[in-house]
Amino acid sequence: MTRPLVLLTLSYVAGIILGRCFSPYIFILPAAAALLWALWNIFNQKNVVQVFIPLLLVFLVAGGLVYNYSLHKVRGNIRDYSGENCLLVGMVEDEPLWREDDVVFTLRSEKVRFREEEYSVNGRVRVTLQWKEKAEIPLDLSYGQKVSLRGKIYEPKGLRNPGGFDYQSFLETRGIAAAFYGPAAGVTFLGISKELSRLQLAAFKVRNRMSAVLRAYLPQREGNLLVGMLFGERSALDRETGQLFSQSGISHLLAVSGLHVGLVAGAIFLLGRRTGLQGWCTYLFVALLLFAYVYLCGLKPAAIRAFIMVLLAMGAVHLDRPGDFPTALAAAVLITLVYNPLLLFSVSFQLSYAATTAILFLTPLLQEKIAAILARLPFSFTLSPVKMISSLLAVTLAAQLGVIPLTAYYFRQVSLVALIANIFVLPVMALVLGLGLVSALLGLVWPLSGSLLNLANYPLLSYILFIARMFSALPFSYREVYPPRLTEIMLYYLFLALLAGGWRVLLSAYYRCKFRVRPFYFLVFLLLIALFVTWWGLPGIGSSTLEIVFLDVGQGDAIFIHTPQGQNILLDSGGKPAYMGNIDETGRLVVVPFLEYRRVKKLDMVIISHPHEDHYGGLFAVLDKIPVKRLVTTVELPETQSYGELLELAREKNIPREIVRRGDIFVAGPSLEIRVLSPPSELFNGTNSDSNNNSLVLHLRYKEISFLFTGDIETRAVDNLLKGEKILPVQILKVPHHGGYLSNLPQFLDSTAPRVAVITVGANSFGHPHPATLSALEDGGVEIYRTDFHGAVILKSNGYSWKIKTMLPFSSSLLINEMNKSGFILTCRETCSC
Amino acid sequence: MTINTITKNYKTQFKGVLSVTVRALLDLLYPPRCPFCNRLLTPYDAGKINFMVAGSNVSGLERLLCRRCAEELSWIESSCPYCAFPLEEGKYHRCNGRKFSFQECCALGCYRGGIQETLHRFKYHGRKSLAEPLGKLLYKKIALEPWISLVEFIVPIPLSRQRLLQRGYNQASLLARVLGRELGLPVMEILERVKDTESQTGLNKSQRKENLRGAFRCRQEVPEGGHVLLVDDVFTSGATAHEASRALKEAGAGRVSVAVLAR
Repeated sequence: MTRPLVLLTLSYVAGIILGRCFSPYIFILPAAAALLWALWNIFNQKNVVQVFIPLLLVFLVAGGLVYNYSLHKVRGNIRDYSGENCLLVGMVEDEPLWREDDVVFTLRSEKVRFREEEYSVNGRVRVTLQWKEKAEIPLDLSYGQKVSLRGKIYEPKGLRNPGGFDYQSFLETRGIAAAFYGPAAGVTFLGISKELSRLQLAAFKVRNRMSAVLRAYLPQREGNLLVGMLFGERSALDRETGQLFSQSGISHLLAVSGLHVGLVAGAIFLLGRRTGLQGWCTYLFVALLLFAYVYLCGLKPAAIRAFIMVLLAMGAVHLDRPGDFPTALAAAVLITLVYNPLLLFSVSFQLSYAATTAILFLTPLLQEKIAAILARLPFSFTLSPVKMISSLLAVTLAAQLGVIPLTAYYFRQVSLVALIANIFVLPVMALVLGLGLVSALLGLVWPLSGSLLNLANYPLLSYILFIARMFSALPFSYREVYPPRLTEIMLYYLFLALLAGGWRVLLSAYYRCKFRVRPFYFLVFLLLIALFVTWWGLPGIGSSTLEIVFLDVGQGDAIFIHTPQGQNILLDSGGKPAYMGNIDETGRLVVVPFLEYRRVKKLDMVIISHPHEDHYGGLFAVLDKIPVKRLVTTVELPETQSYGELLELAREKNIPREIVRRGDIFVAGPSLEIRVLSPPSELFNGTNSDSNNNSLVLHLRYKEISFLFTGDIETRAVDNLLKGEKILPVQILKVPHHGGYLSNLPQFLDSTAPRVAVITVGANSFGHPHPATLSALEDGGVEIYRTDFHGAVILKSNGYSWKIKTMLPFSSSLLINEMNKSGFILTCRETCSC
Repeated sequence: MTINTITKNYKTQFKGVLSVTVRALLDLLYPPRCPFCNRLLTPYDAGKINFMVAGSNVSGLERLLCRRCAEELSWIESSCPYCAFPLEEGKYHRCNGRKFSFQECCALGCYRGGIQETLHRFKYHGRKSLAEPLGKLLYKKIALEPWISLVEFIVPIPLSRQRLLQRGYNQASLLARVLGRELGLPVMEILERVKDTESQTGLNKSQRKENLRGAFRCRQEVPEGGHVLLVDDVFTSGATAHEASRALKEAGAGRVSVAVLAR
């Protein structure tokens, strides 16, 4: 209660998190009630505490409301037009980022022309324009221009798979609602937009001029690095350099941070003193110029934080009030999150505040410890540079301790050399910044002299690059880790907080209150917690749940089976047809992250139902990252080239390959067996697609629940199944061939009588799933799950019943509507090969 | 009540609410600390919120010092009415046989421990803002004196020009301003130092007296027979207050009372 602003901010943040979890409507009534309560207490002259508690509630509710409001505003209505070719009109809202064969920029959408009709829309769009020839490059693109583009609007993908990347949320934190792809040749310029802001235009112009001055005589890499460091413009930097920096743990140099703003503020302050300003004039002078710098850098969260904290610190001096760091930090959080509450979920925001908070609370502690260690060394360590190094060490260590769980969670890697690399780099970085800033300012009036002065930065920049390269080349420089779970992250921070002095606070609170715990009960309590944590931490032990995850890999199959005995089986691995781009992509972006998220150390079995890219493409990445014990495939057929490559890779890795057919049985445990129902020993020949029909059909039985995985079989194979031995009623059916047309599906459903059907399907040109399939399933009263609507479908069973969770919330009534719509719109084709 | 006074009332009320709001916001951004022990103040150290009261005592959110310091500091509870020397129960003080030119003196506490440290920070470390809580505390103390209703204006003890330039502010006049606001009395900085005296610290009683003789002069006439409240930070031997009040009396003051932070 001694720092009211900290509590208010925490409650606002909690409100935002609640707002993300629950519907916004539940906030309105409590909002009104809390506000009334607060006002009532104020006007009845209640004491501070009585006013403060309802005020906390007001902030909590405000967090939820503001979050939902700004989410609604960011989303606009542009996504309603996604998926089809259209003409998009809008204003370019930032400086385009030019790359090898495309350009990326943000567009504030105004109008969409779509099927000969024009609609007014709102919402920002991230536009990517690609070109094939140099002549097509729209070189005139710049801020403030109104353009018309030809292409397709896409709804960005949300969190569709466990452990996946939430692209939608990523864009939304940047205020972007949708993505747009189109050819560069389709750009038409419509002149300067009326809505452009002169200030922003000026900022871009100044920044461009400064960047040009800084880049002038430097090699491209060093130039980009300098601009990246000075303005936090990370995107211009090539991927390789970025990777070097993150591996050696110094990538924070490339984000405008407290260090940058602090240095600039110091420089401006000295300048103000030199010109003879006094009192509040200095304050205003520094505030204005510093804001100009922060604005120039694009109002990044870390820069805003540093700006607010500098202002408050200077205000403390001027008002002659004692400054308070935690309060200043809380004020920065509050202001940033009122400006844009979505930022709470952005990586840069979280990293910045985690680092600052850790530095704030841990540095004094660490410095003490480090000084004590240094004092114990045999030779004298009272020299000032050594002292400086020890404080540098303390700050860096504190920051690292603060961000480790976050980097592990988001980037899945932890840098081990960050501590030492930073000590080598940070002092030089201050020099580079100072020199860069002076030469950039000089360059505004006299470009040549600025660029020449800037040449002095060249050795410093090469030194930084050298350090980055050297440290990232060390064998132990970084480790790839499994992403920590949310509970683990929270436990870590709790531990850190206790270490940083929280225990003292708790202890004093305990002494102050009258409640006393007897040691015996305390021990029992500790034991219970320990038991609970072990139980929680080791979910595999003692559990008897079968878990099956139907991953959303777009058009394709990838099914992960975790048996009660702890075995991991991957049935198909998704993938994109070779003609649609990189065959490896699905594996790299979906399957491997999922397996890492589940902490799968090895796969006991990988089954490929049939050799089509959308079933095996992802396996390249999986084989690269995760050891596999057995590879199970269907009978050899004329192979595609990449399938051959895959088998070759498996052979190189010494993975035994088994070919199975009807009648083979794998037993994965006492109560769990997997039988192969198809293909028969005599393969199908001369059907529509022999590879599809020869897919492995697997029947998995766990106690009293049966699953049927049907691969991509078509009518002939289904006929064969129906003719063969009677299939026991199954409870869960993976619908054959992504829901494609099957003439004998009703008979198949009659004989198998499934209760749940899962269709693994994505955007495709084959008309999957076929309306006839959907209606047959609906007629049979089967519960339908589709990976294109539900995201990944997670099914858990204890052998007698099952529970289904989907990654995306999707109500069933909406589902049927969508199905009808898609049934009408999509053209149907009876057969296809893939 | 005329319309004029009503609008005036509203104006003062508005001003009061505004200043309370601004102060509350500043308290939010810079949580107040106890001037004595530098710990953050808790709301339990606070008074009641009083937004509706306008005028002189709008400072509803005032939080002066933490409970612990309030209990532990060496406050002077009973003291000699003439020289504010702290007395034990039932004892009588003769001011060591000295005669002062002022009538009475009131001090907040003894010059040691927390108060001494705070005064050091206030005087020598540039913490001007300490005038606010200290002045308010002093106000609370002198408000209990029987003669307080008779006081007509407040005069701070001046600093020599050289010292003023050095320090940038006169701590006594800052205190006097706070007192003036709290009491609703005018502050008149009419005293000035004629002699650039040496620092009083390190001198004994008689040297102090000698050092200060004729050090003050009144710049203008005091209203005939007026009751003056003389404000200073520390009262050691009483020499300064004695000289200053003599100067005031020469300029026409009828009665001089002294208020100091520490004795």
